[in-house]
Amino acid sequence: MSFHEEFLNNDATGTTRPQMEPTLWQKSRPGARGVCPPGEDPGRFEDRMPSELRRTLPLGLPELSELDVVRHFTRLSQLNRGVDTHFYPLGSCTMKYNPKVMDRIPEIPGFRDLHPRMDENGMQGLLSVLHECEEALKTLLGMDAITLAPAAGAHGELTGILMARRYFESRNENNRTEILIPDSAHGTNPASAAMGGFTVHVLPSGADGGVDLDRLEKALSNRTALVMMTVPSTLGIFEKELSRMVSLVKSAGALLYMDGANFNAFMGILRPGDLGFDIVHINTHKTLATPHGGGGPGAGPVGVKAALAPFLPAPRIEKKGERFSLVSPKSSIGPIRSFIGSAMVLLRALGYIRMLGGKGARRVALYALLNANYLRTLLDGVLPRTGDGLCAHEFVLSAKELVPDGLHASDLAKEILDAGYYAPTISFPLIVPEALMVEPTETESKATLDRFAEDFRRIVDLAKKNPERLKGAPRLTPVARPDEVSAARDPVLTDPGSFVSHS
Amino acid sequence: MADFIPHTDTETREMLARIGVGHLDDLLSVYSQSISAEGLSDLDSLGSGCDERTLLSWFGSKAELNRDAGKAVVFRGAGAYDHFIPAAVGALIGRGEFLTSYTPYQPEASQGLLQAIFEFQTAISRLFGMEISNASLYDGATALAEAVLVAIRETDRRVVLLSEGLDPEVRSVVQTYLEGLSVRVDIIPLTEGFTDLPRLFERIDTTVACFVGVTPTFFGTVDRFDGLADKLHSSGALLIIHANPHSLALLKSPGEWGADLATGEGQPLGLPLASGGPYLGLMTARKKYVRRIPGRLAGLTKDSEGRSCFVLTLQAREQHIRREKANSNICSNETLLALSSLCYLSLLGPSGLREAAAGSWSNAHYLRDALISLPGVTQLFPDTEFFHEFILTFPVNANKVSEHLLERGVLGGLPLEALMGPDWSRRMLWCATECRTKEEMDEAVEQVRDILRILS
Repeated sequence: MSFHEEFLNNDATGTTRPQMEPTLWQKSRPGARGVCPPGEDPGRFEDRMPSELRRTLPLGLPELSELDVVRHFTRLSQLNRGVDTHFYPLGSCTMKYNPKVMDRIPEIPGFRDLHPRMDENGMQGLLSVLHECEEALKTLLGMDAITLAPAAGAHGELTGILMARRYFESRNENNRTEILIPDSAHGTNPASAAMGGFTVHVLPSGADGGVDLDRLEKALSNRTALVMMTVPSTLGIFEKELSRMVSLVKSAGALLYMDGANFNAFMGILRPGDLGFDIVHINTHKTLATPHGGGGPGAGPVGVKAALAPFLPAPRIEKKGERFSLVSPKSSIGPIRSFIGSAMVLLRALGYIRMLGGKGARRVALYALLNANYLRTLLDGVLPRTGDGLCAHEFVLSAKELVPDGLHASDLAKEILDAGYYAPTISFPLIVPEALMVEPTETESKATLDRFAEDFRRIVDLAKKNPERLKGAPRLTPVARPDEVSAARDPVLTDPGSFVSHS
Repeated sequence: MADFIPHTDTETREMLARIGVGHLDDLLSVYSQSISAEGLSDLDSLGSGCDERTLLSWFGSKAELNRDAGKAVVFRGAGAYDHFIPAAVGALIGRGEFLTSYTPYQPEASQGLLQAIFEFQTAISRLFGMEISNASLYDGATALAEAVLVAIRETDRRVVLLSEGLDPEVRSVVQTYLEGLSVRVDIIPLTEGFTDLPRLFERIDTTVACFVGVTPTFFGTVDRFDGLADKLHSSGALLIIHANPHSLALLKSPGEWGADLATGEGQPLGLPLASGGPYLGLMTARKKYVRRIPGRLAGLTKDSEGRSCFVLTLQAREQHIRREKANSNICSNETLLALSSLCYLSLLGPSGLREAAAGSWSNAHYLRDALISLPGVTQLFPDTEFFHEFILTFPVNANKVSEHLLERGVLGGLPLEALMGPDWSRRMLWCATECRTKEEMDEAVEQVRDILRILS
C-alpha cells in the first residue's frame, strides 16, 4: 500500500505540515555580519561625494550571519519541488531530467569569467561554440539561419514577429497587419503579436481540436502577415492536414510561424523547415533539457528561412575561415537584449545535443511519445480525453464530469500534490473545460508512470465517491490552499518588516 | 551515447504491448502524412553522441581560447562587472529543488521559491528606494524597454525622451522593442556628463510619455535629477530611472529622485560575467503602477487554515490570462538569477554592500589618478563626479591600446569607437571594482605606460 493510499484510508483530516520559514527580515539581527567582501569603509566616499548625490534612505537589507543565510535558503529549497525531487508531469513545460554534467559547463572559468565586451581576439572559443550551437539547431530545425539571442520562448516570438514586419516592409506589403492564431495557442503568441504592433485574429478550433481549414481559408487575406501554429498543438495533436494548411497560408502570401514549445515531440524525426515553416522558435528549457530555475532562465533560439535571414537581430556571429567575429548588418531589426545571448544556457543546450548525437536526439522524441502514450493508455477511461488514438508527447484530460459535485481540475491537482508529485498543467489549453494536461517526458521510468497512473486513478475514484475529501487537499504540503482573491485585492508584495531595518 | 532514457528493453516492450503497437517507430504514425520515407539523413552531422568526460574536455578546450578574468585582469565594465561573489551563492542556487523547478504555478508545492521571490522583490524595492518590484525580467535592457512600454500605456502618448547617458546598445534594444508601435524617440544630450536640466525642462510638454534618466551614466558620471519628477508630473509624464544597483548602496536612489519606475541590470548583484548571460532584469515602481507593470509578482496572503503563505498574484495582467491584451508577452523570466542576487544581498548585508561599493568607487578613483598622470592621457568630463567608471582620451588609437594590454594579461577599458563613432577612436571607458588590488592597478598602469611609449 502506498503512503498516499494509507493516508487516504486514514480518515483524519488534520495533519502536521512541515514548518514554514521566517523571512530574512524576521530573522535579521541588527549588527550581524555575513560574508565580508573586498572593499572599504564608505567614510572617504562620504567626505568626497557631494551630499545631494548621496543616498540618505536606509538600505533596508537584512543583517544575518553566513550560516543564517545558508540555513534560510536550504530550508526554502526544502519547501519547493523540482524534477530532482518529484515527478513533474506539467504539460507543455516538458519537465525532463536536467543532466548534472551540464551544470559543470557554466563553471568552466573560460566561459564563466569571460567579459561579454571582450575584444573579439579574446572570445574566439565562445564564438566558435555558439556558432556550433547555431549549426546544430539549423540541422535539427531544417532552417537556413539561427539567432541565439532571445532570452526565452516568448522573446523568440517577439523576435520572429519583428522580423516578419521588416520582411513585409522590405517588400512594400505594409498592408499585412494581422496575425492569425488558433484559440488553443499559448497566451504568449497573441501577447507577442500585440507587442509587435499587429492585430490578432483568433482561429477557432474544429471539432477534433485541430485548426478548422475552412475557417483558416476564410480568415486569410492580403492583410495576413503571419499564421502562428503550435506543432503538435497544445492538445498533443499533430494537425492531420498540415500540408494543406501550409499551402493555403503560402498562397495567401503570408508567412508561417511555428511555436516550437513542443519540438521535443519530433526532434530528429521531422523538421519545421521541411514542413514549410518560415520561422520557428524553440525553448531550450523544454526540448534541450536546460534547467528552468523556478521560472527562468530560458533561451528561445529562432530559426528562419533564407528570405528572413537579413533581418535577424544584431549582433550576428560571422565565420571567415577559422576566425569568428560579431557583425551588425544594416537590415537587422537591431539588438533585442544586451550582449550576445544567454550563453550559459545555450552551452548547456549544445552539451545536451553533443551528448545525444543525431540518433540520440531521435530516441529522445520516440521515448517521449512512448511515455505519453503508455501513460495515456493506463489512464484510459479514467477521465475523457480530447482526441482519440495515439497522442504525441502529451495529452489533455477533462475533469468536466466532476463539476456537478463542486469539483474542478484544480482539486484533482491538489490531491496529486499530496500523492507525492507535482501537478499536471490545469486550466490550459483554454478550449478544454477543466483541462489537465499531462506530459511525462522520456526521462521518467515505467515504474514511476505505473505508480502515478495508479494514484491518479484512485484520486479520480475518490473524487467521484467523496468529493468533499478533495476540497480539503492538499494536506501534506507546507501550506493549505492560499487565498488568492485577497492576495490580489490588496497586494502585499514586499516584507513590511523591511522598513524597520537599522541601516 | 547518453540519452537519459531509463527504460530497459523489457520495459520498452511491455509498454509498447500495453499501447498496442509492435515497435517504437509505429508511434510515428501520429505524424504519418508528413514523414518522408528516407528520414533525416543529415542528423549524422550531429555526431554519434559522447560521454561526460569527452564532453567536458571538448568544452574545456574551447574555453582555453577565451581570455577570461583569470587570464586578463578586468578593468572593463560597460554594463557587465567583475564583482566579488560569495561562494555560498553558487552552493545555494545549485540546489536541485530550486534549479529544476518550474514557475510556481502550484503554490502549495512551491512555497520556498515563492517566498524567495517575495524576499527578492523586497530587497530590490528597498535598494531602489521604490515601493514595489516584480520577480525579474530578462536583463536590464529589456527591463527598461518594458518600463517605457508601461509609460506609453499609462499616458497613452507616443513620445519618449531618452538620456544620452544610456548605453548605446541598451538604447538600441529599447528602439527594437518600440519598432512596431509608432513611437518617437528623442535623445536628450548630456553636458559635461550630466543632464542639462533647464534644456530638458523646455522639451517637456503634454505629448511626452516619459523621460529615461540614467545613473551612473554609460560614461561613468553621476547624474542629477533635481526637480525633474515634479516637472514631468505637471505635464502628465513619467520619470524612469535606469540605475546600476551596485552604486545604489551609496548613491541617491531612484525613489529619492522621485522616479515612477526604475530599472536596472542585476548582474552586479552576485552574477558572474558569464559571457553575457543569463543576466537579470530589475523592474521597480511606485505602487500605483502595480497593475500596469509586466512580469510575475509574488504576494503575501493567508492559506485556508490562516497560515501566512505566498502566491503568484495579479496574474490577470499576464499573457496566459489576458492574451493579446496582456501588459507584456513575458512568461519565462530570470528567477534563478533573482535568487542569486537575493543570496548575494543577504550574505553581504547593508554594511557589506556599502563597503563593496565604496571599494569600487575608491579603486576607480585611484586608477583614474594613476592613469591621468601618464603623458598625453586626459579624462573626459574631469569636473563631473563619477562612480566606478570613467573615460580617458589617449594620444594613440584606443583599439591598439586594448589589443596590446590583452596580450599582456590586462582587459583594459572599453575602446569606444565601435559604439560611439570615429571621433571617439582614442577614448576608452575604464572601470575598477572592489575586486581590483593596488598591485593589479599599479601593474596595469605600468603596462599602459609601456604601451604608450611603444605606440607613440
